[in-house]
Amino acid sequence: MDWTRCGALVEPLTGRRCDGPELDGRIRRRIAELDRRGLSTGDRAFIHFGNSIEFFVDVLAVWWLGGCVVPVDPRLTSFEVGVLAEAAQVRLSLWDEAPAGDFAAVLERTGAELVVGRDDAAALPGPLPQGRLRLDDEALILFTSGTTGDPKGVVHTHRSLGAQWASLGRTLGREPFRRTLCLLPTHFGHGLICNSLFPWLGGADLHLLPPFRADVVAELGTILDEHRITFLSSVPSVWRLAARLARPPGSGSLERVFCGSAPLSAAMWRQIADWSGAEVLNAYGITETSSWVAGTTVPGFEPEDGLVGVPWGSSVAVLRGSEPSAPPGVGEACATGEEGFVWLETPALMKGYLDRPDLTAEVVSQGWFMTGDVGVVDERGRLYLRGRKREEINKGGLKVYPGDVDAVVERFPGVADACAFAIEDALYGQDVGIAVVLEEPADGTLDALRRLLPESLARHQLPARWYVVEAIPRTSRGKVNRAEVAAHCAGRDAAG
Amino acid sequence: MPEALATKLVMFLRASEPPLAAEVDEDTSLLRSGLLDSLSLFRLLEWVEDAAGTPVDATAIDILTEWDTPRSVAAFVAHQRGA
Repeated sequence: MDWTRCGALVEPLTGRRCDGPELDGRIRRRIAELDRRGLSTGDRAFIHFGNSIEFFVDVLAVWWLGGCVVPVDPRLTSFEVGVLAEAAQVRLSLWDEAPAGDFAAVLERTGAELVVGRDDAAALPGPLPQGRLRLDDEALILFTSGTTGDPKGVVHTHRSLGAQWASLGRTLGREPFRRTLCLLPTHFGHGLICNSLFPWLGGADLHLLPPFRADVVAELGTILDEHRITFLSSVPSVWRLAARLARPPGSGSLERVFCGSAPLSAAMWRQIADWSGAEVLNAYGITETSSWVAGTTVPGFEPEDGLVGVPWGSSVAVLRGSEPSAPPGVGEACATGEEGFVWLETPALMKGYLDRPDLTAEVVSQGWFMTGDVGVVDERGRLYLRGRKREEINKGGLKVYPGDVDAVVERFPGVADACAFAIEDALYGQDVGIAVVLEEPADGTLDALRRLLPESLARHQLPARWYVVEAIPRTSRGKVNRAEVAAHCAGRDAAG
Repeated sequence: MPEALATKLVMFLRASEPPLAAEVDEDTSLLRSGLLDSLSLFRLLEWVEDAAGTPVDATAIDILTEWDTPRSVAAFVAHQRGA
């Protein structure tokens, strides 16, 4: 690993910048420190902070020592972090400052060693330990669901990540990315693998902003101008907010913007183009495929609802079936223009789900990945999405898994049953709604539940609308039809 | 009138679902403190337009200053109503 080829890391809000010898020194010091702590090949390290210079220093230091990086959403509760730590069996838990509450106790119970802060003023260490990075070793685990009980961790190797960056470089070039801005969270595949590591490891300067901050979005135009940003990627909700609240950039530096992780309407596409003054590209990808695997290119595409674009270094097939026993080449392919299940083949495909070969086998077959999306390929080879089979709630590009919410709510005394589902939202596209069946409807359980839920669920997973219902319909196998529950609740008054 | 509007806005923010991460009063910094996330800011914009009775071009103002506290938001709305 040669970090001398990396660009600068810049934090526009703090004014900090790190590159060249300073970056080299920071990485060397961190490698020496983590080596002293015993981090070795195959060890996993949680990183509980993100979108900072220190985050990227830690990623490279862990990788040098042969370890695997597990970025953790800093918004998760200690309960959720404990669930993930048990699943990942982490060796080190890296914090930029001492955690509040019972995080330390929870992590220590799982055997993780906490490392808080760093000493960047320490003398430079002597020769580094031998680099232990191996192509087929685990490099990154991104948890996509199950934070409340049954974690699903997407495991990528250095080979799958390297394949992604090489493929993107060939498909998209590197010049437009030379001053990249990331305001997506770095625990998120789109933000980390594609918006950040792809440009930065390739030599671009990476500007880092804290995610989810309303004040940052309100100042976005000014920040883009001041730092002469050429590229950023985001999700529709951020663009929607920026277009309503932020002064547009005026310097003309912005060349290309991406929008991904959620459906992009033609109207939103035009709105982003008007606001940014840049080329707008739609990017399609999934954490399992190292994010971006298809999209539009410039020139050649006009905004259209549902348009994904063409493969970027991947292969796309649309089949009539979604069964892993019948991947492309075996299963029946849809005719041009016929709707079916979208399958992807890419060298950037994950190794599998952490310790869950059963889940991996449900979606990966003969090198193909069944996305769960429903789409169509037209006569020009362009992919359009028409819906999805997956039941996640796409909250502005970040996914909330209704089963995670159910699992916590159902544990509360007085709750007989619960079912979370997607509701329409003007900003995010979707938000979290929930139907609950109470054992005693008038006993104050709902108020207590709303008060106590933030102890177990991160804020972005908390329901925006509550419905008290008499029963939640289930199949004979106990499965719930969330769309049916959502439709039932749609005509009722919410309890909050 | 701005005082009553500020109180109304505080009530609106306190009733947010999911709840905000900290208590809010008329002088709480909403934006510069990072208290409002993007969803909450979007809801605030809707509230302002509703209270002002007119669409607001927020890209033309410095909302970090003009909308930082419930009191300043109320003053902005009162100004819009009188404009």
